[in-house]
Amino acid sequence: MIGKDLVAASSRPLLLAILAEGESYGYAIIQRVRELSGEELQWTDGMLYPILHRLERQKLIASEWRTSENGRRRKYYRLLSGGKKALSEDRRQWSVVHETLNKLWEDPKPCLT
Amino acid sequence: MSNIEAAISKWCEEAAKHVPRSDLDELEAHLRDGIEDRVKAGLSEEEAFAVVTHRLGDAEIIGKELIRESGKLSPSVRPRRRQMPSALCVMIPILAVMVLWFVLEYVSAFLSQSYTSQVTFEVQPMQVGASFPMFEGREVKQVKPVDLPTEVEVVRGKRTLYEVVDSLRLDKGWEITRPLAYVRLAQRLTVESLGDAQMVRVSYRGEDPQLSANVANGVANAYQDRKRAITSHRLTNELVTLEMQLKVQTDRVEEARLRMLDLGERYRITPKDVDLANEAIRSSSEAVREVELALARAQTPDERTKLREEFAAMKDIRESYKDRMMDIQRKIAEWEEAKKEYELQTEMLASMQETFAKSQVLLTMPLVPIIIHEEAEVATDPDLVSWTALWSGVFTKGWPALILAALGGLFWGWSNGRPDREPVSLERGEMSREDEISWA
Repeated sequence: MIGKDLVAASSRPLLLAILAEGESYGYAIIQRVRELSGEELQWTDGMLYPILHRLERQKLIASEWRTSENGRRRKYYRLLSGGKKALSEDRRQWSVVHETLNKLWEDPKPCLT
Repeated sequence: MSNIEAAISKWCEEAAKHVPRSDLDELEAHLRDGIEDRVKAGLSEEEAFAVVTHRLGDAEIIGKELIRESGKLSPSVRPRRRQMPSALCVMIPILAVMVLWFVLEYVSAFLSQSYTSQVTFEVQPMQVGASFPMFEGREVKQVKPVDLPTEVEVVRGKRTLYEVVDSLRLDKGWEITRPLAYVRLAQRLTVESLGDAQMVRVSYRGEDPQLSANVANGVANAYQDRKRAITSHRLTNELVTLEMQLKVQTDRVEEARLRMLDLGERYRITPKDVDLANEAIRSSSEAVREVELALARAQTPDERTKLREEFAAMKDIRESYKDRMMDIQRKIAEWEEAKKEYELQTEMLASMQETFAKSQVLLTMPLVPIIIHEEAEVATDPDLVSWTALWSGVFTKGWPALILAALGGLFWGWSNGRPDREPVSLERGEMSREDEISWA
């Protein structure tokens, strides 16, 4: 299981990246996170919505009510251009962190050259 | 309704206490999707409902987060995050509005050129008391100095100004109703007293120089008429009083005359009566003296007794004559007093009649209680735009805008003080702050 600080920090790039695959709604997004992380990355389902709303307020994503083929009304979210930019920035930052940690963990001996 | 529907609607009902109505639909959709999936996977509806609601989390906490996100309400969190707006937030909008308003005032003053005409006149005290000499003796009626504040109010009084509206037909000229014309006239008119001098200055500011002069002079004339009306009204009142007094005086004269005649009739005393009385007193006194002498010469006691009796009788007669004389003199004095009273009252009546006649003449004469010193002339140049007037306009007329600007600045500073404009610190900041939010 992932610690809650890390879950919180990763929530934005994770949501933006999922929406970058195509528009989706709350329940489906959670399912996708669970599926991608192999149940490792979990959160209280309800807390997804405040984060989605915040991203919407920040104009990174937009939402729209629509009725699906089985007749159920769902609120669909899609990525905006601002969200794309934010995602690429998040990606850059996460890559830096990832690489930094990778260097330490895969090659424990410091390079002194 | 199946059990599961009842459970869902119950859950929604409970959640509605904390979650905004607009967000509740989304949660319900989530709930239904979750239950459907789990039922498909082989769970019973009850089990599916239990699992999904557990995973969804506490509606109260979700609701809190949603409300904070929508910026509607968050009593426990906001004050901590808010900063006091700096003074600049308030000062900058106020200054901006002040400058803007000043420019507006300047432009409007420049566009609507106005012309001011002034008329200055002296207000004289009314000489009403002085014109009635009959009051001088008893009740000195002092002429009061003019009370200028009262006069200023008379000048800009409704009756005076309506007179101006009517005489110049301002309502027709301005194409508005008569009461509106009065209001406009009152707004553009300035009436002021000049220090301690008994002078009043009327200024009128309008777009048309000729009309400005006409209105200023019209006000002075209307005031003059009004003042004349007030004066003659007072004079008339005094005349009425005077007439009543005349009537009383005439009655008094008649009374005195009747008393005098009555006394004369009753007493009928002539100078001869007085002489006769004097003669009687004199002869009786002589008789008394003779008897006295005879008494002194008497020899026998009998003679003496007789003479003593005669002496007493004589003395009585003399006293009775003296009494009669006193009576006559009293009556004469009484009559003379009545005569004097009659003459006095007649004299007073005559002087009153004279005053009355004078006052009647006064009333017919035109009284001019004001002297116009400076007639209004047609202004050739428009009014200068005064900087102080412009500035005062900013505050006297623009204060609501200034207050709005201050409030707006305050609000702007307050909403700007919220740190959610800093997205980098947001993620961690928000999550770690609420410890009761369970992540996984």
